[in-house]
Formats: sequence, C-alpha cells, structure tokens
Amino acid sequence: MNNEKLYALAGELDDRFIAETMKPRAARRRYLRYAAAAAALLLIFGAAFGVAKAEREGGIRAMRNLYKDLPEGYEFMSELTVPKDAVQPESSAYYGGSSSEYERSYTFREAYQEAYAVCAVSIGDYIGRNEWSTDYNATVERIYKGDLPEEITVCQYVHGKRPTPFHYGDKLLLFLRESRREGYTNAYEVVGADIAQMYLAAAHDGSVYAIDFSGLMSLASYESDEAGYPHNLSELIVDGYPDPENAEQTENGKALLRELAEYLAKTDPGLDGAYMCYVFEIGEIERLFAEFE
Amino acid sequence: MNDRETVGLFLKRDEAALQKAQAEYGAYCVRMANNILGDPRDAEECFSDALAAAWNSIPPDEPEDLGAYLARLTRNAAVDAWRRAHAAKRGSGSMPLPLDEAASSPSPAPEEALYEGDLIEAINGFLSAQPKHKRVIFTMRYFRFESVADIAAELKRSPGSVSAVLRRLKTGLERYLKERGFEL
Repeated sequence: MNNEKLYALAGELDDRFIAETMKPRAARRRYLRYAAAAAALLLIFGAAFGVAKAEREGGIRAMRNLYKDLPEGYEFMSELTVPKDAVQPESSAYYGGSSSEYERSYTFREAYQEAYAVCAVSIGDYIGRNEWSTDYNATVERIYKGDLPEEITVCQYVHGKRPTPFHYGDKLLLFLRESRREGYTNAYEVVGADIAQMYLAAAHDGSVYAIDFSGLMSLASYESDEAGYPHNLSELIVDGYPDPENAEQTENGKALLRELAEYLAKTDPGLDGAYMCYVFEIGEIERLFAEFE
Repeated sequence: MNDRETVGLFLKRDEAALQKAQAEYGAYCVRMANNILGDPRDAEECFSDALAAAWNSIPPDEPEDLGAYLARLTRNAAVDAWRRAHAAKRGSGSMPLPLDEAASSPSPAPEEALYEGDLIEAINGFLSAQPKHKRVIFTMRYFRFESVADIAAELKRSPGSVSAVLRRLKTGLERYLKERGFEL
C-alpha cells in the first residue's frame, strides 16, 4: 500500500484514534506551568552559577551542564543544584534484604523487550521508602518505548549496598516496568533492579552519553553475542572503570572516564571496583532501540 | 467545559459553542490544516469552514467526540482547499505527492465505496490491536500529516524510532490486509 493511499484512507480513522493524539487542555496548561517553572529555575541558577562553582567543593552541586561555556571537560547531567526545598534520602542510608532480581542478567534487547517503557527521566523529590524500595518523583523527558505520563514515580529497588540512591536532578535512561509497590499511581521500577538503568552525562560540546554504571547489561549483551550487538554500538569508549589508564580508543573516552571515576569516588561508596562501566553515545543507543522496535 | 456541554451548546444554537470549540480544538485543527496547506492563514480559514460546517450539521449530528469531529471536518476542508489550489498545477505536472490520492477521488462509485468501507474497517481493526503509542504515531503521520521530526519532538522520541515504528506498522498492516483478501 503506498503512502498516498494511506493518507486518503486515514481520513476515515476511528474517532478514538484521533482523540488519542489530542492533549487535554488541562495537560497542556500543566505543561506550560512546568515550562515556566523550568525557565524561572534557569534564571535563578544562572545567577547563582558563579557562587555554585565556588561552593562545589563544599558539596553544592551546580547545573553546569546547561551552560555552553563550561570551564572544563565533561559534566554529569545529574550535577544539578539542589533546591533548598528538594527532598532527598540520606545518601549514606542503605536498606538491606536479598533480591531475586539479581539472579538473572539482561541484555539490552531483553531489557528493552521486558520493559513496559524505556525513557529518559529527571529525578525529582524523594517521596518515601520501604525495606526494598526507595521512591522518587520523576519527570519523563524522552520516551523510547511505551506510553507514559509526564510525571511518574520511580521505585528504586535496593539490595544490600546497591545501588546508590538517586539524587534530585539525576538524568537517567531507564527500562521500566509497572511497579508492584502499593499506594502510588503511575509507579514504575527498573527492570532487573538496577541492571537496566543508565546515567546520562553531557559533554560541554553538547554530546550526550549513556553510562551503564553496573556494566551488567553491556556485559550480558557481549557474552550473549546477540544479533546486532555490540557491533553496531560503534562508540563504546570506556570499559575500564575504575582505572582511567584502561580507557580505550579516544581521548574523549579518557577524559570522560577520569570524570566518571572522580564522580563515583565521591558519590557512590557502594561501588568497589568489581564492576565495569560502559559508556555509549546516546545516538548509538537510540539506533539500537530503533532496531528493537 | 467538556465535549458534551459544548455539543449541548451547539444543539441549543448557542453561539458560545463556537468559541468553546475554537478554544479547545482550534490550535490542533489549525496546525493540522497548516501541515496540509503550508499556509497559516489558509489553515485558519479551513478551521473556520469546519466550525461553520459543524454549526450546520449539529444537529442533527450529535458527535460523541467533538474534537475528532472537528478535526475530520478541518482535514476535509484542507484537503479540498489543497485540491483547488493545485488544480491548475496538475496540468503543469507539479503535484505534491502525499495528498495526490487523498484529493483525487472525492466521490467514489458505490462498489468502490463499499470496498473502501471494508478496507477502512479493517485498518481500524488493525490499529485497535496495536499499542497506543504506535497507534498515536500512525495517526499523527497519516491523519494529521505531521513530519517524522515533528512527531519525534512531540512524543519525545528519536526520529529513528518513529521511522522504525511507521515502517513496521506499514509492513504489518499490508500483511494484515492481504490475509483478509484485500488487494493492495
């Protein structure tokens, strides 16, 4: 069937399908409020930028990734200034318990197929926890699979000292399934506990990288040698965390790896070096997702 | 105010219905018409024509979904406008492709109409069985005439993933229709 015929026939599509492409006005108004709030935050953080940089050593995190004139290297997209009223869990508090979630591995393809939704999110306020889950509000910023509202709850599975709790402002690429957690609507959890999640980092030239912190998904994909992977992920640039000397292939890779190692040393006491960290250009990941569709 | 209340205003011949419909669905419909015509002023005229058509057809019509109803009227008005604007160009061989067939046969013969009715029903059946996000991409592309880039931006997806969804939906639809005896 050619495109012209499809355009002609689409004029008679069911009303339900047409209605699905219309955003309710309330949702549009909410979206505009978010946009206005984001613009206001940008202005505030912009004014505070100089102070935030100076205070970084003191633990204040600056939203420097939004600026083109960054002083150096790579910046984590999670390096956001935390608003005073942001609610966060204590970073040193971990909750224990065994987890069957770790009893199997996931390749990229398996995680993508098992996930109800795959998306980039920005982590918001911490909202609660139980013995196996720490929960956060999150704003969906990009959807690769599934159908999600603008605002969701992300239930982070915790097991022993893994993983590091999310922080307000973290940008993450998550493979999500609907959560078993009670009491929330639009609640989702990461496939395979913390296996199917990637942090997003931005270089100051604007390029974005997805980082498989635990490395388990990348490793499983390598080992399974599943069709199309990893050979089409041509921009695999780091596979040697935590030793920057093991950075391979590019100078960018080495610089990013150093940033990673420094960042992890400060923020992730749970990592003990037994994990490998894999970094991919976001475009390569997106091309992989397109193949999975 | 919900659709039922707005339709109620139409039924009571209250001109506030037009303002409500404009406020609720104007942006959506004008954008779609602009996708077809490439001219914002012509697009607004098409939406005005659609509102006038709705005013004349409600009653007796009582649409359950006023947005879809207005969108369809706007689309038809825009396709007609496109056809009129390009009638002269037909002779000169200049014919933008996507609307060629949509505009070429406004009133098919009865047998053809019956066949097309079955075909449309089959397409709607196929889409009903698809996940919502895929259906939305299909409808945005073929009903709303959105570009792949615009669909990707609106749905926060990559253009590659939108293209992949469209390609697979088309392949799946062709297979589905052939299995049901339609000649494509």
